[in-house]
Amino acid sequence: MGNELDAVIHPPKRLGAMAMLTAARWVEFSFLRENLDVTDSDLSKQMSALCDAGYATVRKHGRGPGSRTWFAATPAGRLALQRHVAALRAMVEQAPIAPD
Amino acid sequence: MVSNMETNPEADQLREVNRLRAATISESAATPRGGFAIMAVAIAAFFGGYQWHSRVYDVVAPIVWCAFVAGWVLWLRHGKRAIPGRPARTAHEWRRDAAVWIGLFAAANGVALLGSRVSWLLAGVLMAALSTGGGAVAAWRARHP
Repeated sequence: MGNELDAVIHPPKRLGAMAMLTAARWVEFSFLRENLDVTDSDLSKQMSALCDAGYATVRKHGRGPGSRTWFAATPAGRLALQRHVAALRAMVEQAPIAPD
Repeated sequence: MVSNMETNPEADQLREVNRLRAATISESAATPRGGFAIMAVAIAAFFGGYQWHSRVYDVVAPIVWCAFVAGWVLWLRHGKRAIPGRPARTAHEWRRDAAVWIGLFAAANGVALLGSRVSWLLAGVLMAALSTGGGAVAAWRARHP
């Protein structure tokens, strides 16, 4: 398994979203939005990119104002995050230590 | 000396990943305010009701109780914005968890048997304490995997 950064989840918002999705089975849209500190449209765009890449899946409950949108990480998404985090860790370990 | 973890952007990203994962796990393990208290009162009332020695209560109470528990579970689930994942358990962890449930079941039956000889209300209060204590420990364990 190579330690390479994943282009799809490299942007911080998508990385954060994947971190949240892999910590639970399903995560609700508003919880993602609040924790990632993004707007509805921005989050929709980021989640669409993750779904298009096959890293996340979406499920909608209800209709109208009370409807809720849930997201889950797919096995491919979990693996991608695992590899991406391993690559980040390798970069941290290899980085030169800053002087005092 | 400043370590790598304190200075570079990759370290910041890893810290953010950990923060968001912790927030999600915490949300998935959270219960709505008053969730345990309502269940404790309901358990005490359910067992305490047997004090009446009413045939009607004997028939109606289990049905109402099942409906209440189903509603309570749905309420807890609806209040969450992150549904917890099923943790991967080893065979040893499955056996340990099964032993804990069997122990709790035995303790609950013991409390009901002994407590009801004194008073059904006492049995209810003891059962409420046992279940909320067990629930609090389970919730704490879910938040600190």
